[in-house]
Amino acid sequence: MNGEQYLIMAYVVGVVVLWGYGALLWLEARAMTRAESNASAPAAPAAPALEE
Amino acid sequence: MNRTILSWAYWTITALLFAATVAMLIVYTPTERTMGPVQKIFYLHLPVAINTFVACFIVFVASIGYLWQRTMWWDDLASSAGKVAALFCTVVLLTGMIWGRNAWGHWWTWSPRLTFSLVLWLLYVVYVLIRPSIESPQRRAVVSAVYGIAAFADVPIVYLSVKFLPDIHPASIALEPAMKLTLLAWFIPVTMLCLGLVRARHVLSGRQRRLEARHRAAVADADERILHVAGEPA
Repeated sequence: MNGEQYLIMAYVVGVVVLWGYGALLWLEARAMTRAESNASAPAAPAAPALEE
Repeated sequence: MNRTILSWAYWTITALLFAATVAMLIVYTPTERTMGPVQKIFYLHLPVAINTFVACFIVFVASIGYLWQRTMWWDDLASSAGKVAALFCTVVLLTGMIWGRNAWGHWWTWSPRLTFSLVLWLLYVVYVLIRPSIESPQRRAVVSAVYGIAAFADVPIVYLSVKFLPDIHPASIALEPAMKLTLLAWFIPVTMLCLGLVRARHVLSGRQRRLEARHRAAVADADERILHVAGEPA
């Protein structure tokens, strides 16, 4: 491998690791938003099976 | 809504600056005569290394903050910065190894700077991995805070090792004005990325904590209702 190939390898590794973590956080934030909206949805009536 | 727009603006500017500095590296920055193109790894390696220290310092300050005020906000901040420190240190080691393979002919050497950098990486990886193994949030926060303060001791050792110990790692590199400008330019998006990731992780940790609290409250409420219904006379 020559110097240019090592250079490209270093920048690809750097960009993939750093921005990859950013992308993971973004996906986690989206999942969190969904979980929050599910949690604020009105709850189902409690334990109807027991009442029967 | 305003926060979302600000967040999008921040990340868009960071990405654009990142792209601009890559373009600067290709079209503007001169190639160093002795080392050739591989020297350009330095423009990513050094800002990421300095920002690793910044993230470690945030862990240190937040750990002191937690022990002082005992609020989970500080613990979340320390935990977020610890993850970013481990991530940035990974990039420092990887880019350094790639540069070393070309410049020295081997991927790794046990020089003081490299060894203490590996220790730094291990310290923060252990910090990240050990936290989930402690059940109680308060106990986890206290143990992490003490660990976070102690782990920071390696940062000045990494920084000073190259000055006071015989080392193959370059202590300083003479740069032409165009190279200095490129280096300064690279510090901007890398620092924005580091602080942005710490902030994003911190916000997510807070949201996660609130969601878990709501979930626990809902479960406790449901349990109470079930007990109430089951206790009613038939």
